[in-house]
Amino acid sequence: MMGMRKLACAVMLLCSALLVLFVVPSWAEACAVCGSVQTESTRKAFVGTTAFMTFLPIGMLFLVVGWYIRRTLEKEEQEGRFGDR
Amino acid sequence: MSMVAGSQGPDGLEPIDRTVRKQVVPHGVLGMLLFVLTEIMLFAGMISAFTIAKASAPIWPPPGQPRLPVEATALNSVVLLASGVALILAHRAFHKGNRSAMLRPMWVALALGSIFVVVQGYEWVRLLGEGLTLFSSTYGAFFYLIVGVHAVHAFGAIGLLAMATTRLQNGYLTPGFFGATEIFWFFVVGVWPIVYGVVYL
Repeated sequence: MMGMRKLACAVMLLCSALLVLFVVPSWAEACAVCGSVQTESTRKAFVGTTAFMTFLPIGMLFLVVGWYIRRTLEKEEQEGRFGDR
Repeated sequence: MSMVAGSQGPDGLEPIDRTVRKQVVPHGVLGMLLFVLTEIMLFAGMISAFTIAKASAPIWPPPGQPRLPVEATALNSVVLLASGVALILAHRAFHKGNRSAMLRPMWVALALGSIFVVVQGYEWVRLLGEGLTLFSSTYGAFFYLIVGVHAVHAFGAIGLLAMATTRLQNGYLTPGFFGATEIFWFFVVGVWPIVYGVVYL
């Protein structure tokens, strides 16, 4: 019974969102700045900064995790070596 | 690992593994590293916003606004980079176990960092006098925001460096504290050429 109510709520929410999207599209604009792109240089800046902001955290995450794993392996190797003695 | 998986005690429960694990990275270093990663994203966001504002403007810098001191700041950037080099020397001395040899480069790094902040402050006063304020234009707003946030970080890093130097003098500088200080200082030094290249040039 609860599942049906949740489903009904979700459907109503979706219908409301679609209604807003088609009736008042200016309210439903997801991108606040897309309409302001008038020049080629601005478009390039948007594309460049989007790529920058996407790949920078991913790259940093890989670097830090990689460094941590390397440190852990080095430490384990050291401990193993001392353990053999 | 001393425990065998699946082995059970007389009460039917698995014994607690009391193996003492050695620290892979000091807590201070890891904490500072995570903090610096978030700060990198803060600068990335500001630089991205600045890049878009710059690309959207028909003329950049806007007419009627004072020009930034490119040459003087380039010289000041060299001072900051030199402080980074001094800290590298201190790092080498620290890892050789020669604590007395690292005191001088630590003081040099501290002095050069302080000179950088003082010169930046002087340039700010001059620019404010020429009419470039936070509210004069987008140019001024971005300039004071980005360079100001960097200056706040530089202040914090100088404080940390001063604490590390004092601890070194008193003989209780730990690798964790020194590592954290190094990470923060190298971040301040490393992010500056990017800020300079984007904002000043």
